[in-house]
Amino acid sequence: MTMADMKTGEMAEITGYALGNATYRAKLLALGLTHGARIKVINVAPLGDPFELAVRGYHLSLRRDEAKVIKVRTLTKEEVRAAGSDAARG
Amino acid sequence: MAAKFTIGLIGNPNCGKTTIFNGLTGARQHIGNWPGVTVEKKEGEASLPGCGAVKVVDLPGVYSLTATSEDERATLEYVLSHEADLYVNVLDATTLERNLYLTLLMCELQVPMVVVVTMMDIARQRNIDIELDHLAEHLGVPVIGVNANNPLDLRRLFATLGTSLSAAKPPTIRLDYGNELEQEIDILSSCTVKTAEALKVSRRWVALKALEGEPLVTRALLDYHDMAPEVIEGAIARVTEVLKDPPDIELAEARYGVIAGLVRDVVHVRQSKMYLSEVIDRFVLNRFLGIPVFLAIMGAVFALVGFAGGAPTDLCGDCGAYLFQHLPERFLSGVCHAPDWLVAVVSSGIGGALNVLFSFVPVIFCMFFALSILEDSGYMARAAFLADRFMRALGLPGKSFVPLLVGFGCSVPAIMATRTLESKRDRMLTIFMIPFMSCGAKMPVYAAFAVAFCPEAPARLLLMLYLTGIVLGVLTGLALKKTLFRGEPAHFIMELPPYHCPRLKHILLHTWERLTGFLWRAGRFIVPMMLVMGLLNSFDIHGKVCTGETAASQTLLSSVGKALVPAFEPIGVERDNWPASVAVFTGLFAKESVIGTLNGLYEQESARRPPSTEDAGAAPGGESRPDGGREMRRHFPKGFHQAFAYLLFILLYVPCVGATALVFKEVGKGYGCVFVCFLTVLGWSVATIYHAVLVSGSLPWFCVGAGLLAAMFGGFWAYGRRHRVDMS
Repeated sequence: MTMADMKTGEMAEITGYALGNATYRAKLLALGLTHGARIKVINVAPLGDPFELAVRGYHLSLRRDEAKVIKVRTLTKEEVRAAGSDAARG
Repeated sequence: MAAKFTIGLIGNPNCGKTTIFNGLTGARQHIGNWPGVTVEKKEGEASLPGCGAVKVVDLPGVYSLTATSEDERATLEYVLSHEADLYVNVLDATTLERNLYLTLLMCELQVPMVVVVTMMDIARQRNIDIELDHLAEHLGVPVIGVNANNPLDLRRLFATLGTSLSAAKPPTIRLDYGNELEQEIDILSSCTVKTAEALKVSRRWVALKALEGEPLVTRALLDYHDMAPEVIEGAIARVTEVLKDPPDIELAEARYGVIAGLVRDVVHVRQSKMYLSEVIDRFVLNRFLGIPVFLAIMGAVFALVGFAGGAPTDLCGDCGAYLFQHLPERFLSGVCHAPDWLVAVVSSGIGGALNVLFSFVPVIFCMFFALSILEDSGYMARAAFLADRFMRALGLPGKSFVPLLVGFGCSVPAIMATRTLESKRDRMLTIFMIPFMSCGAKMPVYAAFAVAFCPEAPARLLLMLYLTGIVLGVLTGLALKKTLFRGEPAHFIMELPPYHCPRLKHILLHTWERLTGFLWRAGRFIVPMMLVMGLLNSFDIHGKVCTGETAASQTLLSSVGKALVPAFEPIGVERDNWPASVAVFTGLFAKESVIGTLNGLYEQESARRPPSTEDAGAAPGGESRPDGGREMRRHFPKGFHQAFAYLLFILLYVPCVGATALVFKEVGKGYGCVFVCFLTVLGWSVATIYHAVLVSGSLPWFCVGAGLLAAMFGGFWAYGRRHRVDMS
C-alpha cells in the first residue's frame, strides 16, 4: 500500500520508498518521512488533491500522484489506541 | 565602521528566523540577490557586546543542506563560502524534531554555531517542555530559548552571541552511521582530499554528501578529479545491496534515529489538544466552504490592489509629474533659460521616467502588503493547497494563482509577486502568462471601443476581451509547457504552518523592504527604458523638440508608427488610419495612452478635414468636441470585427515599458527577448487570423498568421527539447 491510497483520518507507518525521483525523495527524507515515521491524513483539498498529512508534529501537503513512491502500512486498531489519538503529531 | 565578524542565520522555512533577524538588526538591513539565483539575500548589521558591529546574513529557509532548489543552493553555497564566523541555527520549538535535522547537518559541517529555539511561548501553551540545557549538552553548542517579541530574551541572545563569537567552538556531537555505512564513508573519504581542501570542509563531510548524491558536492568531486563517477556509483550500489536501501535513505534514517533519542531525552509533552489552527482549517479547507473562502480572500486582495491602482496611483502620478517634470521644467526654462532640448531631456526624459516609477509605488505597496499578510498569517500555503489541482492543469503550482490574479490589476506588481514561487520554471511560465490577464490600464481602451462599436451592450465586448485573454493565456500556458518550458513541474511538498495573527510591525517592515528593493533594483531597469521612450516621444525626426498642437503627430515615435502602418494592414489598420499604428507605440508607455493618442490624433485629423455633409449635421461649425466614437467608426469603417482585430492586438502585444523592463530583470536578457518577440508575434498573428476570417476573407493572410504561429511554437519546441529550464 502507498500513501496515495490513504483516506482522511487514517493513520499509517512509513515502510519504505519505491524507486523514483531522487530529488523528491531527498526532500521528503529531510522532512522526516523516514522508515517507521507515523503519519495521519488530516484533510483533502476540495478538488480531491493534494492532501494534508500530519507527521513528526507538523502538517505537510503532498500530491497523491507523487506520494505513490512512499510505501506505508496502516496501523492496527490496537496500535492506534496505543499511540493515542494524537500520536501522529509526535 | 566595517563589520569585523559575520553571523549567518540558518533554519527551516517559517521557523521565526526573520523575526530573529529583525530583532538583531532592527532597521539596519538591506535586500540584495544571491549570485546566480533570484532568491532574496538579506543582510543587516547588529552591534553585539564586546564585538562591535557585526554583519548578519539571513539565509533562505531550508530543511536540509542538499542543493535541489534555488533556496537550498544559495544556502549551501553560502555555507561553503565560509564567510560567516558563527551560525545561528533557529529552531521552532513546536516542531523541534524536524528542525533538529538541519541542526545535525550543520553539526556535521563542524562550524561554530549557537542554537536559538523560538516560539517557546507557543510550545508552552501546547504543553511541550524542552530542556534546553540538556539539549546543549547533547549537541555541544550553546542553546538558548527565546520569544522573539520579548526584549529581555533578545538581550540574552545578544549576550550569548557576543561571547560565542569571541570564543567560537564547533559542535562536539558526532554521528555514527553503523558499520556498513561507516566503512563506505571511510573508503570515500580517502579520495576526497582535493575537494575537501578546496571547499575547506572535512573529508568525511564530502564523503557523506557524495553518498547522498548531493549535486553541488558531487560536481565539485568530479571537477577536482578526486574520483570518477563510477567510484561514487559503486559505493552507492554496495550500500544498497547490503542494507537494502540506498544510502540517502539510510543516512536520513540514522539522523532521525539520533533525533528521536534526543527528543525522547529533552522534550516532554504532557498532553496535546486540538489546536486553533486545526479548527480554522476545518472551515477554510472544507470541501464546501474552502473554495468560496478562497475566492473571497483572493477577491479582497484584488480589490486592495485595484483600489491602489485607482485614486492613490493618480494622486502619486500627479505629485510625481509636478515634482519630477513641472518643477524642473519651470526651473530650467524660467530661471536658467536653458535651451528647449535640455528642458525636454530633463523633464520629459528623466522626469517622465522617474514619474512612471513613482506612480507604481501605491500599487506595489498594496500588493506586497496583501501578500505579506497572506504569508505571515499562514493562509498563503492554504491558498496554494486549494488552487493546486486547478492550476496544475496548466502545469503551474497553486501559488501561481496570486500573481495571475494581481495581473488583472497591473502587470508590474504581478511580476514582482512571482517571487513567491520556488521553482524557476514555474516563475518563468507564470511571467509569460501574466500579460494575458488584461491589466487595469487596458480597460479605458476597451471601454472607448466598446462605446463606439458596441453601444447597445458595451459590457459584452469587455467580457469578450477579458475572456479571450484568459483563454489564450491558458492555451499559451499549455503550449509553452509542452515547448519552451519542458520538463516536469516542480514536485509539490509544502508545509502547512499553523496560523498566527499577522503582526503589523513585521508586515510593514517586510512590505517596506520589498518596496524599496523594487524601487532600487527594478528602477535601474525601468528608468533607462522609460528615458529612451520619453526622448523618442519628445523629439522629431530632425532632432527638434516637438511642441504645440501638432506635436503628437511629429515625434520620432509617431514617425516610427507612421512608417510601420503597412505592418498593421493585415490586422485591419488601413493606410489612412495611421493614428492607430502610432497609438500602438505610445501604448508602450502605458496602455491607457492608446486611447489618448487615438482621440488626440483623430481630433487633429477631423479638424483638418473639410466638413462633409455627414459631419455638418452632428457638429455644426466644429464648435462642439468631435465625437470620438464617430471618428473611430470612420477609421475602422468595416465596423465591429475590424475594431475587434485591433483590440486583440492591443490585448496581446508587449506590455508597457515598465512591465517589460521588469520581465527582463526577472528572467534575464535571453528570455526577455523571447518574451517580447513571442507576444508581438502572437498578437499580430491572432489579430491577422481574426481579421482574415471575419473581415477581409483573405486566405493568404490567414496562412501567414497561422504559419507564423506554427513556426514560433515549432521553434520553441525545438529549443525546449535541447534546453531544459532548470527545475530548481
